[in-house]
Amino acid sequence: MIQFDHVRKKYPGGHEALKDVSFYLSKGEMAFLTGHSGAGKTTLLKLIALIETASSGHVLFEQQNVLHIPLRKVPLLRRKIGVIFQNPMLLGDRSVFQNVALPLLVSGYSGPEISRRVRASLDQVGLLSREKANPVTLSGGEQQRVSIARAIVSKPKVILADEPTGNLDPHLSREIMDLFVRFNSVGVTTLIATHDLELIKPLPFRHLELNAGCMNETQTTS
Amino acid sequence: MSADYISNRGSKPHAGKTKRHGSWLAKYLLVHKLAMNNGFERFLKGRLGSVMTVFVIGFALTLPAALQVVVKNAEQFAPIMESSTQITLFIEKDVSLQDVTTLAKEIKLREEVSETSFISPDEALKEFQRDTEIGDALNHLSDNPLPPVILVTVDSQFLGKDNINRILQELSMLPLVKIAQADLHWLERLLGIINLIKQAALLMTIFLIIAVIMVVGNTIRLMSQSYKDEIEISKLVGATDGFVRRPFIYSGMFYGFFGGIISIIFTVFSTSYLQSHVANLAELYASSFMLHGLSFIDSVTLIITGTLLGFGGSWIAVSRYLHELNL
Repeated sequence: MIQFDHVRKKYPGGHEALKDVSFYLSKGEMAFLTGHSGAGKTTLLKLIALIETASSGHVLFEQQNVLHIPLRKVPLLRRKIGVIFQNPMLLGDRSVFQNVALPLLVSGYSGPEISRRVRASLDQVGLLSREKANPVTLSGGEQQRVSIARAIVSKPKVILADEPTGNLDPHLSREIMDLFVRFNSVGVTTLIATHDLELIKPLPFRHLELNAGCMNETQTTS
Repeated sequence: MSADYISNRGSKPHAGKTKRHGSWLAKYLLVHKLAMNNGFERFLKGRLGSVMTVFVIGFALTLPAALQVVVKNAEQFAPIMESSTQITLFIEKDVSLQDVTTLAKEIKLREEVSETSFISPDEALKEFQRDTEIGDALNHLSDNPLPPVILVTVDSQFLGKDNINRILQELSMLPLVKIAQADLHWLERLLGIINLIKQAALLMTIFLIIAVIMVVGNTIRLMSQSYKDEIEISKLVGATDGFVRRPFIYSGMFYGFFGGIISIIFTVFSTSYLQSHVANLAELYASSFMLHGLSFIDSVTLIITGTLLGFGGSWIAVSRYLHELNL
């Protein structure tokens, strides 16, 4: 599903976020991307969703080199990926429902189909009763769940999460993790960046460790 | 509900969409309807800022519109200079009075001619003697040196330098006519002034069109900055540039549209204000000259122009912004 092949990412200004990263994530697999802050976890996720582009090496999504995707087709790639950030990135001038509906709107859905899917998605994260609320009135954990609902509403093939539990207490963190495990159990390829090793220790998934911008995990695929 | 929900890809977006919207056109219209509503909402959210932008566009469009009105009225004024479009035909000297009167009647039948009058050599001589001091000297001449003259008044539909010159040409070719002359200076000067105003109007229109594009562009630029979060999140969840751009372009078109309406109001107000003054002036000249305001077509043109400029300005602004955002 996702493959990195000697990927290097150097930002303008000289900072080298990723030096040499190779790994493979098969379809339906779930893995944790670990490493201390600044190891390049966020950069790695951004390369998959084409928010950033690699300086050298190959990033493959469904066997296709993402760098070869023409600019106007990038949105189609992103519609296959649900991205969750540490900061929930919700729009404060809209209701929870409207926030979750955004990916469907941009893909051209309308009316009843949107309602049906948004409600199903909010139900998944246990926030169906808050659909009319303004996101700013929700707690941190609830906001993060709204952003998860937004990420899964368009039924993505892949979920990428960047420190989704970064701002939450251990109990809420576990709940969020359980959600991801459930999504993965129905076949969604899931990659979660986290530095909270305690939280993921009991979970039976592969760890991809980034160390100062380096990783070599090509041989260990499940 | 279980987590099966997100694995349920039985209805893939594309497969589902055709069924839901029926046709490509229906989907297209729906997308634009949503973007238009969204654009109008953003326009309204601008409140005072939007009102000010609309007024700036309104003023900017009023200037060329007003000049257009001036040009149109000046052109309308030209026929009033009818005296300047009289053609004088000097006839061969030894033609009989009978023949000259017949010729005058024939000329009058031409469609370009509204009137002809005949001045016989005797009449011309009397007039000459009355009006000039050397008149007495003519008494000593054995023969009347003045030729018969036909004065031709050109119909007001056939004014303009080219027309007059053509008519002049044709009349001078007639048998019996020795010389055909017209005093075109007046007309030429008037047309020259009108042309000057036209050129100035064109130049000003170009400047103001650029100004309107920039005003809309700047407003939309500020607007898109205030929607930065929304744009970024939309792009991250797979919005195309077109999806992000569309509502802003509609906002820009609303600015131009309402700016056009404001400029119509301004122009109509100015013309009706000037109307009474023009009426006074026309009375002095015993003329029924009426100031013509914006026609319906002019008004529609103004609105369309405003809307198109709004489109252009917002397109440039949002495209540049998306390019800078580089998401």
